[in-house]
Amino acid sequence: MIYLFCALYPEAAPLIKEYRMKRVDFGNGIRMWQKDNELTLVLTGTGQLNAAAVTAAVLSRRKAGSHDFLISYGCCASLNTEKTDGIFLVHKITDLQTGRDYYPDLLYETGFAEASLISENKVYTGAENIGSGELYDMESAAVFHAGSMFFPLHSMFFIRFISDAGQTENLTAETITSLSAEYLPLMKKLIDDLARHEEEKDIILTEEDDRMISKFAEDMGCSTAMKRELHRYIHYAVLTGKDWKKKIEELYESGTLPVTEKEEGKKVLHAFREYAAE
Amino acid sequence: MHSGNMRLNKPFSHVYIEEGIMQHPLCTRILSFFPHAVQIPVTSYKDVFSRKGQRSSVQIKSRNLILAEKKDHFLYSGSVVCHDFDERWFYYCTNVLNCIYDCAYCWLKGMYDSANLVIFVNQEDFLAETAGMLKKHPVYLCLSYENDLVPLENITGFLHSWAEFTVRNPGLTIEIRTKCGNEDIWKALPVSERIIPAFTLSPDPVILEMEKGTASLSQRIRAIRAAAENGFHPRLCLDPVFAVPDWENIYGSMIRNVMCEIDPADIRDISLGTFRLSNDYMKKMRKEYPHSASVQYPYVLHDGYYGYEENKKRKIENTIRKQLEQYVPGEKIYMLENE
Repeated sequence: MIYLFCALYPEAAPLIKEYRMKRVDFGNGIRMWQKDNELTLVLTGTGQLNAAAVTAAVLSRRKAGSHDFLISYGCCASLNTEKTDGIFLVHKITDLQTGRDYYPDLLYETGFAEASLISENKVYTGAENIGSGELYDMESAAVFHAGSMFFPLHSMFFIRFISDAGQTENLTAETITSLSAEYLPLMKKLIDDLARHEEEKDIILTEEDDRMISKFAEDMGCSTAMKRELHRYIHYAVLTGKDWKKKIEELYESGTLPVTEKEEGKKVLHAFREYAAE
Repeated sequence: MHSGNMRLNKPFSHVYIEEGIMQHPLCTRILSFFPHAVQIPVTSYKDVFSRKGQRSSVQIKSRNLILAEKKDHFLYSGSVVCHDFDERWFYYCTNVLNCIYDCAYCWLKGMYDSANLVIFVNQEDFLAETAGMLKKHPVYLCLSYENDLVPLENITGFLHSWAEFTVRNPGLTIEIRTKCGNEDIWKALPVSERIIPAFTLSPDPVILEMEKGTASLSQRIRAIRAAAENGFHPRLCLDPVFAVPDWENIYGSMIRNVMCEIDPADIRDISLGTFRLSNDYMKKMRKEYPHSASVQYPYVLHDGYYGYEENKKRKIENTIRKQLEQYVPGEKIYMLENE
């Protein structure tokens, strides 16, 4: 699943339309759209508190994890005379209130230009002396902080397009939607690439294997620690291509299992270790 | 390079640089080797290197570089699970954190959350600390404890710096441990009895399966020969040894091969030891590298360290020791328990 977080509807509108996403009733006043089991778009509202609370609530209830992705997408102000427009992958987020820097892990080629970003909980007017960042927004640090409780750092992407330089009087919802639509092809490529992406699975033993191991452990009279050891031996047997299921069948056929005394179980476990390690 | 459909960035596509060392000459020099890298200023290298949520097993396919200043702890005392070669004042230092190579069993994977490479550019402070210690007592210093400096020499120049410093300071002995096949470096460094090239030797099947990116056995042998021909007395490190299938013949064949190519009289000494890893590092590596057979093997836990069961360990070490003793005297062979 790809979780897309935007602060405002005008930022999200082109994506909702492009992917024909359907409104979902998530509750708690959180506005959410979804396309199948691939893409979920959430509006956080503006500011750090809203962003952190909504991000954490959605990811927690949805049980988001290491095989999912997070994209934080939206508009920002430019703090830099050299970067006055465009869309950027953020490589450094500085939370101005705490002074803490956040660094997404930039392992994938995305095709976006990159920039650093300052994040603070108030609207930038253009008059403040902010420091050395290139972009400015009000949500990134909070989304990163909440997101990093669920995702590895390389699974989070912070994408910002410049909408202003702090003078927001003339910045309308239509302008933001229009800019977001302009960058839609780039966003679509990232989203589609991530949707197709498959990382190497960490799973060595299936749920069915686990059930078999539990039965095996029970018939061996294993303690919790012994069962953990048994699991490890079987994990290694799988990696080295051994037919561990056949070995277990043999133990049943020979009458070695189930054991009647715990000491017998220890001997069987030891013998199984020898088999796995040979 | 692909991981699924997302293309990974090329290694060192990004360089994180501590703001305090932007103007350091070595920082400038290193950056010149990465002209297309995105440069990201950071306050402290730990903000990037020690972040929670890194997946080193993914990161290692697209690792980045961090340039930093080492602020303290320039020299550390050696660990109890390392050979000290009967040296009383045994230290190691860390000009670089992490290694350019990707050895499946490497303890650095258990020690650090990150696969990124940290280079401390303030070599002058390492030398000053060492000079201070040399006023109190001699120093035996391992340079490549948490890294391999040889493949990085072009960009860092650390080995030339250390070698020249060693020649000027009679109380200092340095060991340069490597799996690199670079021959030229041993022709370029000043020769001294107190500069010890130390080559980790593994049979090719082990190199292919577990030591990704390192030199082949034949390349390592050529590098050893280059070091010996230029006046060094190399140390050979058969450490760690793995109980791979047919290990006796595989390691025996490697030893014969090496001793045919290198005059045993040129060899300073040999360290020998089977694989061992601390409990904490093993736990972390097993979790992060579930597909790695070399860490998932059912080792036994003994005094806080995982390794082969005692009988197996002794059999391997004694067998290989006998094979080595056909070429070098026993007193030149160091095993951990004998030290």
